[in-house]
Amino acid sequence: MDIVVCIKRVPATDTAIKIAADGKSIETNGVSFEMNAYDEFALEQALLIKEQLGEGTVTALTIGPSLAQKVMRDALARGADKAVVLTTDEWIYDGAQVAQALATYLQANPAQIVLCGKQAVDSDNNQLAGNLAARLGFGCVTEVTKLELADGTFTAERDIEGAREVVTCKTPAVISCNKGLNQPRYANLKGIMKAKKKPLEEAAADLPAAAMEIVSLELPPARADGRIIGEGVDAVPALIEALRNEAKAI
Amino acid sequence: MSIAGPVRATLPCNMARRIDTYLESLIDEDKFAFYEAVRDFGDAEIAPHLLGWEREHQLVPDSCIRAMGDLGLFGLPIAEEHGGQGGDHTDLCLMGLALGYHSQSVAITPGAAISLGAKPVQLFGTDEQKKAHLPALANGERMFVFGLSEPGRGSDAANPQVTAIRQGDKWVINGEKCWSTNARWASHVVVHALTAPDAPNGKRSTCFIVPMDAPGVFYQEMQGKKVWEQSSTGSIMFENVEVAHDQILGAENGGFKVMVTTLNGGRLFIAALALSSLAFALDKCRIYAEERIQFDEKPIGRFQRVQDVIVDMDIALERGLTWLAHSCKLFEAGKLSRESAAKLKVDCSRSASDLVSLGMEICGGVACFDEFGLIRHHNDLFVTRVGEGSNFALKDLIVRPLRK
Repeated sequence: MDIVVCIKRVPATDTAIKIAADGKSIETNGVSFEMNAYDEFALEQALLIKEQLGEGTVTALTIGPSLAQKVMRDALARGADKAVVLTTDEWIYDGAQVAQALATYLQANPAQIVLCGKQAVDSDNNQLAGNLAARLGFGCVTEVTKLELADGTFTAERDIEGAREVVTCKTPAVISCNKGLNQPRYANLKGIMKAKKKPLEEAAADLPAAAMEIVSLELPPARADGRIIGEGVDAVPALIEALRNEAKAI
Repeated sequence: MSIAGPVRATLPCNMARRIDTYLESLIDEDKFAFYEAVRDFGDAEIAPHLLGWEREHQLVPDSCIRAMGDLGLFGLPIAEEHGGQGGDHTDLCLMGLALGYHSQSVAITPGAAISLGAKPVQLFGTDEQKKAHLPALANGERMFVFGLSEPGRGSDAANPQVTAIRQGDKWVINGEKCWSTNARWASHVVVHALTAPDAPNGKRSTCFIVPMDAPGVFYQEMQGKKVWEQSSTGSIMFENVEVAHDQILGAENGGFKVMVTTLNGGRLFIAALALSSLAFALDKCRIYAEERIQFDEKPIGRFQRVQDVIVDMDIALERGLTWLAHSCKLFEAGKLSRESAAKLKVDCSRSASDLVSLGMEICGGVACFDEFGLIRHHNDLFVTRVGEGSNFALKDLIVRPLRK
């Protein structure tokens, strides 16, 4: 069973984002990058499936600059067998563009299971799983919090509004992973040393033209200071008034 | 990863730990990746729980020891053929730096298990002893504790009061060991015992591998310790404990060599712990100095006397890390003298202790509180001055080549 995990290199989640001079992208100088946190669940699940089956390969796949090799090394150190960087220097925001480039690779290098995080924590597009499955003609289950595989069929659980949905899906399939699915492992020293000897390939990304363009990028407005309206029951009418007319929250 | 656990909890956004900046240039890419993995583990699995463990006066929980075992930390320098990670002494010290940044107590748990427990078996064990113990030591299922110090023998450890007397194929051990790190979790104790009282100094003792559940072995946790509070420190009694002759570690009457070689590597680890505390204090103080506003609505970091302390911490950290990285390479090549290992430990523990005290002084009253973190490192740094050879005793060793 060949499993591919789609991984995105994202700014560390504690980064204070600054807008670049072009007003359309973020400043990357001084920013450290890491594996998208939801993709860590996807990678862990891929490793668990391989361990369960006792055979198969796990390939970590990303699209981005050559600098993404560092994140791919991390994936190899945790246990992936092979990593591929589809290189581009473009900062891609268009989810369809990413899905098409990954689909092109997957059509040439078929896999039975494709796992990814439910979304990337930088652009929060939440598009890849469905977009990719449609292009590949695969089944798709998103935002999975429990996953079991038996006889080529997944049984997946996903949290929906006020309930938990149980879905079955035959392979080949694209599954997007949510927090709670598993506890991602850390790379150990042996894994890091072994990672050096594992294949890490680069190929130019076959990117279609973008259908979407970022026109401008702005930071959210600074939050205003809090204000004490009054104390005790007497202050309630003024509080309601402020919530209704100033904050327009009720 | 913010959704799975907090990261870099002690630093504001986009601010790298000063220690990371230095290490990245001192060690190769793989070693730095390993350091980063242990650092991230410490940030997510240790830092958020530490205050709770301290306030509950709790030792490192079993779940944390298991997690460190899963990460392979107990098998770092053990060869892959024996189930270890195949690392070296630099890796061991990197683990000390990464975990010690939050807590020396946590770092010393795998640290002592390796450098005082597994390492002597790896260096002096017979093939049978290695096969019997190293795989379980490497994955953290088994832990060896080093029985060296005694109530009446600290710096004078070459002449133990614990005795082992030969009776045919076996030996009978009597006496008491104390200050044994990790005793709470130990499966075996390596006992350094007097076996040839009339032999020349350095050839009087032998090391024995003794199971902690052997008849006549009694363990008790030492109470009232206010340093390394999450680390187990035990007193171990031996009453007519019988040990087979093939459980000798190293040569008969060669215990001193086992002890000295073991401690040499251990001293580098203690230096790493001292530097880890200094690294934490440096980050804490430099951030606080920029956040603490006093006089004219400006931060205290503008005062030169405050800057002096921070700059001296930074100098000592870079100097210590550079020296440590160099010493680890010499140790691996078998070229590190006992004097050099001692000098590194003396200098790092002394500098870190002095500077962390000064750092607390520039922070003022807030440094008294456990949640600020500095008082933990201040107290733990005392251990680095007196542990694995007290600094005063080690100066006797250091002065020898100067007096020839």
